[in-house]
Amino acid sequence: MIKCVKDKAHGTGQALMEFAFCMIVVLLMMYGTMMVFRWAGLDLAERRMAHDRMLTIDVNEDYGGSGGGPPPETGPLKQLDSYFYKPIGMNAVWKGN
Amino acid sequence: MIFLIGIIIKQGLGFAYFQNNNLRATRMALKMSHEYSEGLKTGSCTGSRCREGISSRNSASVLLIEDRLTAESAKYGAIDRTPQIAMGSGLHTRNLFQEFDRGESWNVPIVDFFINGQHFPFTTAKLKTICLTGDKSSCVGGYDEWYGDKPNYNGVSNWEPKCAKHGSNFYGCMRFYRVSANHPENINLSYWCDTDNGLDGNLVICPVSCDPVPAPGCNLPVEKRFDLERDGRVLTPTETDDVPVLERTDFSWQWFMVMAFREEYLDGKEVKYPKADINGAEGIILHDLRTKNTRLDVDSDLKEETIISLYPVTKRGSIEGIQVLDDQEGDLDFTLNDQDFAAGKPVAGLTDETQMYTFVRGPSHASGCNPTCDPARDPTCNQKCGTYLLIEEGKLLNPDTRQMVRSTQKKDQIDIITRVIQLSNDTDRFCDAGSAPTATVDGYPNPVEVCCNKNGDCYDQNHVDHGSNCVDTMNMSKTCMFEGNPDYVDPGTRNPKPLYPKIYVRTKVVDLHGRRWVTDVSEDPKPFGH
Repeated sequence: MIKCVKDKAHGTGQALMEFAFCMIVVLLMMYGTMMVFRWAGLDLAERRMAHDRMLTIDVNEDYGGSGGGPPPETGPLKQLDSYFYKPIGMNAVWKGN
Repeated sequence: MIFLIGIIIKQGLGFAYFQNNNLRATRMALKMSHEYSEGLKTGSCTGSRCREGISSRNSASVLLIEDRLTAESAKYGAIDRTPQIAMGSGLHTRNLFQEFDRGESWNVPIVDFFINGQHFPFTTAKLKTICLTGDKSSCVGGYDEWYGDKPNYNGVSNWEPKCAKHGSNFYGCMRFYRVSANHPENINLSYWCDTDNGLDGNLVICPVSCDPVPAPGCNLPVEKRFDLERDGRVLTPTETDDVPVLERTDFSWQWFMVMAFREEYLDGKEVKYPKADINGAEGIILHDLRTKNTRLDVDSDLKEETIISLYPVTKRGSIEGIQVLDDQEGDLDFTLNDQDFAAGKPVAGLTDETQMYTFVRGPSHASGCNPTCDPARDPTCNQKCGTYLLIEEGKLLNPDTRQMVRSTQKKDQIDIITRVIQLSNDTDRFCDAGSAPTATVDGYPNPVEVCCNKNGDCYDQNHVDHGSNCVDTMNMSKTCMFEGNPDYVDPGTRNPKPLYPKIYVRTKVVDLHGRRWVTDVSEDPKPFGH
């Protein structure tokens, strides 16, 4: 009888320990999932906003074009820069490159 | 949950690629329209005046296609490719109303296709010169066609011998046709009518017919106006191309005849010679200050072309030569109608055909490679023997570097992706008249590497053998243009079946990526003091 009580106490503690470790892992996974959800939406929204913002920045309206004057890159070409956006980091676990 | 995170990342990356490509296509179109309108790029135009800007990309359209590896972490790495297709358009209004002068082929409108980095600038129209003399032998050299070769109304000649009148003398010219819309303004100007007689007060009476004797202000009788295919066949229960009588009042358009005669000669303002009379329908005005009847069907294809220049013009005003911008003669013809489809003309543009072939890069064992030889000892050693996929798994401790290699994956392959672009005409821009690839197309390097004429084969997936000249498996990896065969006869039905040009776009993508997971244990204390 005493032996049974002893084993039951050990079993309860073991289950508790294992449950605690599992919950820690599950919490980390849930955090990662939420960060991935956040990244997916934020990346799309940030890219669109950067695109619209870039198209409406001020430019030098006196750009010379082919006839001389300020270089063409200071005119509307400035609004059409292909490298206008850098994708945001996923940061699912920690902030990195 | 790990799988869920992986799926979310994969879907998120897919959406990001899609959005990025769409925004990029729009920006590329805007940028191209700006650069060509400003003269920063001049395409095939040379000379200092090109720096004022050209009109080829006034309304720029860009089609962007990229085949990207999917984002996945499969055991053997990502091997699937997903096509990312995006289309953008842009309009810069700087040269929107710029005059289009004779011979300026660089101003012809162009659409740009970018397929995995290969740039294809396709024209959607072409300049064409047409001889309008009464006799074909009178045509001076340099014309693309003689208008008299394409009569209307069941063989009736297009030549009007009594087009203009000076005193008691008559001078001839050609007859053109244009579309006249059913609109109150056109009714007021006598450009629209729906009956030859005045029995019904609700109908608009047509002016006198120009047949058999033209009179000032005459034009087509009502039956010819509503003969939509201008084939001269009377409306019957089986001949349905004409408009029935009861539907004519509400029909949207009809044909209207125009004489190949310069109307400036009527008022004498630009005339150096005695004032003339047009003894028939209206003429043409192509002047800086005003224009009239500048969209006409000049090649009897039932579609209108835009007049660019009138040259030469006789002393009496008859036009003997004309240059037009024909929307049906470019690389791609987007003006197809039911009649074209019935004639078997294919839809121009990117087709549904796509193939992907995967090859290993290295030579085979038979050609002398040896994966076990040592390059340090043998300079001729070639270890790359067609590795498709290398996988090493398990622990492998390197005592020199103290690194434990967990797994290695490496690929060494080439993907050849084939797409087919259906063209409408062979304009000799990609392959010249001698079936050789041209050096440049619109100022860009020609992406076509091989040309196959009507006797050739660009290694079609269906491998239809049109002859023996160009059937070569070496073409399977090259961007190849089949120039078409207008004289082709279907061997099964023995009926003429013209073959239209195609471009087989072959993209060669080298895939060398891989990964190696390494656990660095070099900083761990060495066992047993070593």
